[in-house]
Amino acid sequence: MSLVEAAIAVNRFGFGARPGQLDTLADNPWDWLRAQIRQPAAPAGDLPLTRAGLDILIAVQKAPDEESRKPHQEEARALRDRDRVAHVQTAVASDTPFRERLVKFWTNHFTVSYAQSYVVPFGGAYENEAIRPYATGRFRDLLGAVVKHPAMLFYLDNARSVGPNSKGGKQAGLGLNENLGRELMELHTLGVDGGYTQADVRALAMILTGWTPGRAKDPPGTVFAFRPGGHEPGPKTFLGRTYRDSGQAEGEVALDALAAHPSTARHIATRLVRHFIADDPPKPAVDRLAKTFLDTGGDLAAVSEALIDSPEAWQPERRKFKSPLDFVVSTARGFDLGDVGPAAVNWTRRLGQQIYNAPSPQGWPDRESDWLAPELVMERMEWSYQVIPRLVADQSPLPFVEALLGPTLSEQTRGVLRGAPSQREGMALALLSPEFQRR
Amino acid sequence: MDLTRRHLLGGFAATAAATVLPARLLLAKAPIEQRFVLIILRGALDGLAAMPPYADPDLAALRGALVPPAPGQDGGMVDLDGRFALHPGLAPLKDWYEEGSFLPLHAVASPYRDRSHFDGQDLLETGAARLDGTRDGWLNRTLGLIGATDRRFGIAFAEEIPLVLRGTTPVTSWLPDKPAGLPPGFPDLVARLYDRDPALHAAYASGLDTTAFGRQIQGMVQTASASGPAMPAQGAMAAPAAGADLQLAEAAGRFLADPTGSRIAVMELYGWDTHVQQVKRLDRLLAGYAATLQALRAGLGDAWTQTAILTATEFGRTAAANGSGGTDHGTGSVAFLAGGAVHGGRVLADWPGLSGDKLYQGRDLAPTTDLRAVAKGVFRDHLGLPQDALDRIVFPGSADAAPMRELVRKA
Repeated sequence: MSLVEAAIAVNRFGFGARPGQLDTLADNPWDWLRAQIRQPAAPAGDLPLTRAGLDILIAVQKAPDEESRKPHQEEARALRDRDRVAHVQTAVASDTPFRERLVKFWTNHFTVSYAQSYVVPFGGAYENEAIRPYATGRFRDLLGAVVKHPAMLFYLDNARSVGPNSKGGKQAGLGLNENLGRELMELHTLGVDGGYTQADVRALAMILTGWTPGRAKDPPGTVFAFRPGGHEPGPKTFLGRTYRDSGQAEGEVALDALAAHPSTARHIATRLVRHFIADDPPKPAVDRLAKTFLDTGGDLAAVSEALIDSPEAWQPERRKFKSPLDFVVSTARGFDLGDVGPAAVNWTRRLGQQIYNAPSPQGWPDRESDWLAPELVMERMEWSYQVIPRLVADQSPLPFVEALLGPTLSEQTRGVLRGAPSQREGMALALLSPEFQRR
Repeated sequence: MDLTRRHLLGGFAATAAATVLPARLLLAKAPIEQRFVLIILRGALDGLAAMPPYADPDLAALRGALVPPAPGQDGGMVDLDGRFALHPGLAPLKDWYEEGSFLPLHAVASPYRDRSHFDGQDLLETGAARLDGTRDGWLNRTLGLIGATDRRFGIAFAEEIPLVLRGTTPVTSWLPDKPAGLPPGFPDLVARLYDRDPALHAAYASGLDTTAFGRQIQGMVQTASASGPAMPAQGAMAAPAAGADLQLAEAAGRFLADPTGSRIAVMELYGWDTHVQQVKRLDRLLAGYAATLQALRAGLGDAWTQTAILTATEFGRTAAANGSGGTDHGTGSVAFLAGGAVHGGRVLADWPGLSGDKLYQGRDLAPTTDLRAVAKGVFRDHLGLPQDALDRIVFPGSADAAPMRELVRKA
């Protein structure tokens, strides 16, 4: 084992090293990574519950006028601000950074966005209640938790989708909305070439009618309810199989089918390998993860383990350009910041990534070509210089960055850091070095 | 903008650019005088709402409350030619239509026939005939054909460079600048850091040049800022009428107007995926789009006469309303051409009709015009590109989509 491998473990699979961390990991970085996915999820601390978010939405809807809506809207905005900070802070503070990277990966894979205003009270609740407990569990459980969460039901409009021939559909003149049915297959499971048709999109949307967030009249604590009155009656044909009229069970069986599908295994494997290893995912690694996914019935701990067991993941070449979140978090960890506070949310926004506001249901992009744009590179340069005084950075740039990245800096980078005219500039250049910008 | 701080910064970019970039890049004159702007409406614009075929007998039954009030009524649509009308939010463009600088087209689609936003945008931007793994965009290939030597000729007014502009010809991106307060030598040191990293080096050199140029442009922008930061947050273009976004559009016009400025540009507007609350959202979005075009024209000044602006979206939406006051993913939509070079004042539509048997797969407006034929018509007659290059390079495998004629005025 070596410092080089410790640096790969902590940078490629984690959120970057803390000062002094490489030495402690050099004995066995694999064990350190493996332990993180085999131990139970750490509680995420004092964050709002999903039901509390629903109560805010209900209060807003019930309020008779703008004036009485205001305090509840304020409450939602306060949650939004707090949850954005928490999203960054959990990554900065994590002692199980590989697990936390997986949580962020899945939160992004199953993106919800504040662009849909009903999602605003749920950012943290979604990550903590629908994603975090399942990130190293069974994919089917994760999928179920996501599809039943109000954030997703609102974001992809299933909350408003009603079977056209259901009781509710006939009475209210409401009808089907295909949004969730489509993205569930295209983005979350099978992938766009995963072998489904427009008829399958419609069928899945029909199957999922009646899947709704909790409402005011539901028993206390309800976050999800199946409402037979909105469910499309009659048989449906989905992915070549007939679903008898059986209420919520139809959707559960459909999710079983999606979670067990070979296209899903391949899609998930590709996205994981792209996220952790390289923009163009090496095929052997994708094959290995997809096979593990299928062999284990979608055990995400086993799939994550296959990832760290992939020789492709341990090549010294840094093939991933850090996302703004990665860059900010690894900077904060490099300076051993305990608590980043709201500033870090402003930092990621400025660098192009507003937390919980991904531009589309596809989530944040995961390729260098998406982040390495002139405007964003300028932002990184300016931000790096400006942030240094806030980071208690009274260190010498070269040892500082070598402690985080291991003994792998190029002569070019060493030369520039040695020649920096001031300590502040040197530290900013350390952050801007290709070695720190990539992982 | 704070003039004092901007002034203090003046030195840095000039110094940095002078050492990082070959001198000719600072002075290069654009190889063509014609300007082309692509505005991508991401999320799939409902063409039947933007330009309702209000004379079509099937429209009202399909869409009900999604159809704006009739022309002449309060808040009603604006008649164009007795068959088609503009959504009330686009009312300011009626004057352009009258003067002949606005040319709307209906029942338009790229070759894409499925309903994934992401694949749809992919095909719209690569210009390929099908999803074949192409990873560069048709505007980048066009820049190559024109012989663009300066990154600034091709520009995205966005943080990221959209796929349509990506490729082997260097391009740039720009958003309004904030004062940075960097020490004078610092950008040079960063440039040295990136000497051995070609991808970072290219993006960085481009960023420096465009920042310096943009700083001059920014001083000229007159559109008032409503409030808030000059730089839109990610996704903030969903509310494109905000002051900062209009300032960006005006600045974009000025980038294009400058003799050494940009010639091919991309802008993006978000938020068109109207599965719910379509009426309310399109009222705001379409008004914002019209205001964006007006701000762009203001920035272009006299260069307006040399400009063609194409607005396109990845696909249209279902002909019928869905169950929640919106529409789902469909196929045919509209495309808009605008600009002083455009031969407008008429609606181009080979109208397929909206009766059940005429709809694509029984649900969507059937496309009768290939978006590539529109773009090729503009590129042949406006940019002077040979048809053979359009068929093979700009839109590979598009020989069956012949360039449309007379989309632009004869010079």
